[in-house]
Amino acid sequence: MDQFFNVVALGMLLGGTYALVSVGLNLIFGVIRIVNFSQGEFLMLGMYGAYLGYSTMGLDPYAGAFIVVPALTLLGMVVYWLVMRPLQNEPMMQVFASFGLLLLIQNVVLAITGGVGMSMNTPFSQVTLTIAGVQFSATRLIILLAALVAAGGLGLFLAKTNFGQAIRAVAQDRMAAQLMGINVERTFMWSFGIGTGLAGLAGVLLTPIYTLSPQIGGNFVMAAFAVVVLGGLGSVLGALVGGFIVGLTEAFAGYYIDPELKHAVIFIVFIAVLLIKPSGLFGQAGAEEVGLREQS
Amino acid sequence: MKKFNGAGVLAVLVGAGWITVAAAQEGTIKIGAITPNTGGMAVLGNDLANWYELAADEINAKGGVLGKKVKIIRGDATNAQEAIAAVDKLATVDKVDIISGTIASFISQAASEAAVNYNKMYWETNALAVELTTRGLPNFLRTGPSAAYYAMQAADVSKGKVASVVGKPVNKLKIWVEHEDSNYGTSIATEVDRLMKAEGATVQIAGHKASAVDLTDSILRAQQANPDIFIISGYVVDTHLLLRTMRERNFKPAATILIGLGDSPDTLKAIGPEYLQGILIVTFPRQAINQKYAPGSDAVNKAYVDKYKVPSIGNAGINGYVGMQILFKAIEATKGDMSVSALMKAAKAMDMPIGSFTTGYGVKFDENMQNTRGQAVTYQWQGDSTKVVWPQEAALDGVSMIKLARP
Amino acid sequence: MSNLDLAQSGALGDSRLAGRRGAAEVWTVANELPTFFAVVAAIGLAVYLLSNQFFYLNLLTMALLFGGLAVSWNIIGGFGGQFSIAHSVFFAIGAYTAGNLYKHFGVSPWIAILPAMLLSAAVAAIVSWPVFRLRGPFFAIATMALTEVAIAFAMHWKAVTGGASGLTIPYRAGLENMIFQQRWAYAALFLGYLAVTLLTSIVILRSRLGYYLQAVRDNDKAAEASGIPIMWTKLKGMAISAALTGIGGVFFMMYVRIVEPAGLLSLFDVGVKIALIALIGGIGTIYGPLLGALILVPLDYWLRAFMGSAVPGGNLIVLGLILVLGSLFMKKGVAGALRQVYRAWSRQQ
Repeated sequence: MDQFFNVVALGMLLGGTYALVSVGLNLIFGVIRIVNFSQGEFLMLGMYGAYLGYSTMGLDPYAGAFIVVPALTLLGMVVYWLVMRPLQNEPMMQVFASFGLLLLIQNVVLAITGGVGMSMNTPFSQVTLTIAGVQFSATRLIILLAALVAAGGLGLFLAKTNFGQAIRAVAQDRMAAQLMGINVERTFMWSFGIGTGLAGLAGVLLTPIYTLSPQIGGNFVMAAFAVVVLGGLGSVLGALVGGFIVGLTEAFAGYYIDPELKHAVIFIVFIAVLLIKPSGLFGQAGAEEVGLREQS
Repeated sequence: MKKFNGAGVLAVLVGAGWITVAAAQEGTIKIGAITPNTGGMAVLGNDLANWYELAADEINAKGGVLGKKVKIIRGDATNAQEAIAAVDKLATVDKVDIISGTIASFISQAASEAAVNYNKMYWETNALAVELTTRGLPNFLRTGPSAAYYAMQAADVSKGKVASVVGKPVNKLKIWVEHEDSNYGTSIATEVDRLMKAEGATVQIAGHKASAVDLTDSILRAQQANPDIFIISGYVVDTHLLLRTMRERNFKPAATILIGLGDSPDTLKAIGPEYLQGILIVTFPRQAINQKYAPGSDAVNKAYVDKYKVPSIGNAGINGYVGMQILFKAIEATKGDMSVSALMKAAKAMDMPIGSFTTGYGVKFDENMQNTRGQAVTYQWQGDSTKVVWPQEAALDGVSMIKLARP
Repeated sequence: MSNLDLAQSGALGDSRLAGRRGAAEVWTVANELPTFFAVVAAIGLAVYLLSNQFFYLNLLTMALLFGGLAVSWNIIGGFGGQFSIAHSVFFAIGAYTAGNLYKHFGVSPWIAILPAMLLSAAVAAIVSWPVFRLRGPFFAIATMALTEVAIAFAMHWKAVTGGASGLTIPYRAGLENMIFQQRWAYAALFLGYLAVTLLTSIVILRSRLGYYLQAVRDNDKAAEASGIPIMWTKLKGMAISAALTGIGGVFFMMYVRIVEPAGLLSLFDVGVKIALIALIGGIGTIYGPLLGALILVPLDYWLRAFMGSAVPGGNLIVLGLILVLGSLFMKKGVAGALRQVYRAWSRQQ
């Protein structure tokens, strides 16, 4: 029982991690409905970018974010324009292409680095706060805060700004949006770019915790797909809540059941929730069809 | 499609099949090396193939084996079906004489059976699963240690040294083995469990996924069990994550033993020298080892850096280097006959004492064709580097195990 | 990813064309048989020609296995529009059934085919029944979750799966053991498997079930309104698809003789790969998935053999590039591209 609050804290921090990874995916997969298997690779690129800044210029990863995030936003926009845009009427082929991108990006990094593990050890990454016997790692707390800020920012952006409304409009009905004078392709390009930029942000913030490998992106993104679906496609609040559900489930299953079984438990919980609410926790009924009807 | 004739497409595909590669070179001994070259194990596979090539370079510089140059031809496989394809390619396209490898046991298993079809020797140097040599495959032997030997060294150092440093008799020791749950980590953990239970120690083994995003749960559970010896058998990413979490949670068991990795500069960078002090690593000879025990290991590690510009990253690579040298000796013994029966016979007849090779190995195969004269050694983090501390005779003069229990 | 988008993506032209043509001329199984026999004979000839070129024969063998798997997947994934990435689960069930029956009870793998099919179909029906309530991306991601659960399950159920170290079968060549020394025998085995899946797929496409599945895919609300039992249709399609996939697992087990959960249930190496093969070939068509396998699988193996050793990951860099370019230049899959070429050609005539 003495560990109970430690496990809760752990689950919340882990939830922050999953929520942060899911924010970008939610924009790409949830809002503009592109099944992007290579999302994890953008996260991985973010990690390597932060590492590169750290090892060559001594740049703290948190400062490196100001370079890495715009760079990955730009890369995402280029990828959208060159690969996803020509396939906008072929969503299944977009899936296929994104798998090609996954192989391409992952193995370019493998070829360059030889797959050797890379780590950094910033002074900040060793700080832990202890409050009433419960431990919080400072790097994980930052991630949690970033997840809240990013989700909140994205939510406000989608709800309040003209451009955010344009994104939602395009996602819901491309034809109508176009008739309203929205530049559809440009809107999608920006959404995709912001999504990959957010993946990069997650990567940067995770770098102080992990040893980098070219395959590491997949470790986060499989769960993130579950989080986005669990929360309800496109719901920013849903992704946040979904992240915490997955994080807490993982912490409790790992500590009280068996660390080897925690992934199975997460996905069983995931399926169970979907069976009760087939369109996700905060999704609208029929949400799975929105945007797809209009794409041909 | 309905009106389209599938045969046309097939003709094109089949046509690709006729591309054949130049005929075999005369006067070279061609050794196929099957290792994983993509995916998570690529770094280990590449390193092992590098070591094979280093061994070939060295013998070629001395005039080759029986006057013939040795050529290593790499083959790439990350799973059983790719292993079969790799053997097909090496045997029919490259026409190699002998096939060698492998990092992962299931690749070795499938590849060695495929090699039977071509009547080729499968000269295993590195795969760990104990069962590989007990299959009774006619073309298979293993020069390096099985998982049992990693475990034996871990058990040996625990019994011979750590117990006394911890201040408990062996049968009162509490041991926690934390392993990644694929074949690699599991087989080592199972062996440690068996060996230490036989000594009367209390052992608990626990698994985790190497791809887990967080391992705090594993550490919390171990911390609660409060073991005297905490053994980690994992891959790089998860081992580092475990160590970081241990540092964060201030978990300092009396002794920590890492198996197979954890002595690289990157580990130092990830964890920092402070927490690493006194942590033990069961691995193969690399540096700071008594040259009487492991003759020439300093020189060969330097040669590796000269050739590849980076220090060897896979700890078991040098074990493959020695395996190649044993193969060269066997080929010399058969006077160049590379048939399975001749090589097996030559190998069976080999009898070289411990300390004959750079890893401190000797050669003596048992009835399953497992080399019995090979063992790992134990290093310890002392200051900014690792030094051999066990077995005693492998340690440099003046080096001994530093205090393990940390405040 | 949903039923709707599959239908509207246009990647399915073939079957719908056939439907339209049906107004003038009803297509039956008999109409399909000449093409079927021609394709099987052509591949049989290729096997014969390559029977001494073991490396290339093996490429073809693997292509036939994955061709059979993709054709099986296509029944529910293509005709039915249910984008499952969990077919590795049924593949694994087949492999473990045959492996255990052979290893522990000496049951010939030929006999094991039946229980493997039944078990795969039963598991498919049981797990699909709840999951089929989900649609589109929800369904696809739920099947991904199933794979994860299955891996954890396989890792833990050591008595059946051998846990992480895997299940191995001793090498004892013999027709009754389905273990062959002659390499062409495996090619013939997998060709037989492919033929069975193709024939099943032809029969289904021209049966009531086939039309039901396509109706559900194209517009499930309309299908329901016209009295088609949606859940029953999907379940039947899934069970048949899974049973065929299970047979593939049986053959695969006897071919590699070692399977371990991480490889067998790999999301990308098996589950997603099967779907992608069908996708690039031409989803929802009869021969598209086979075409995808005949192109993609040998390409993968060939690149690995001849480029894999130069730079770590070099072969996959090239493969990734080809996949991206392939999707850009063949937006309707290979079958679609060929159809376009054929149309252009016949217009010229």
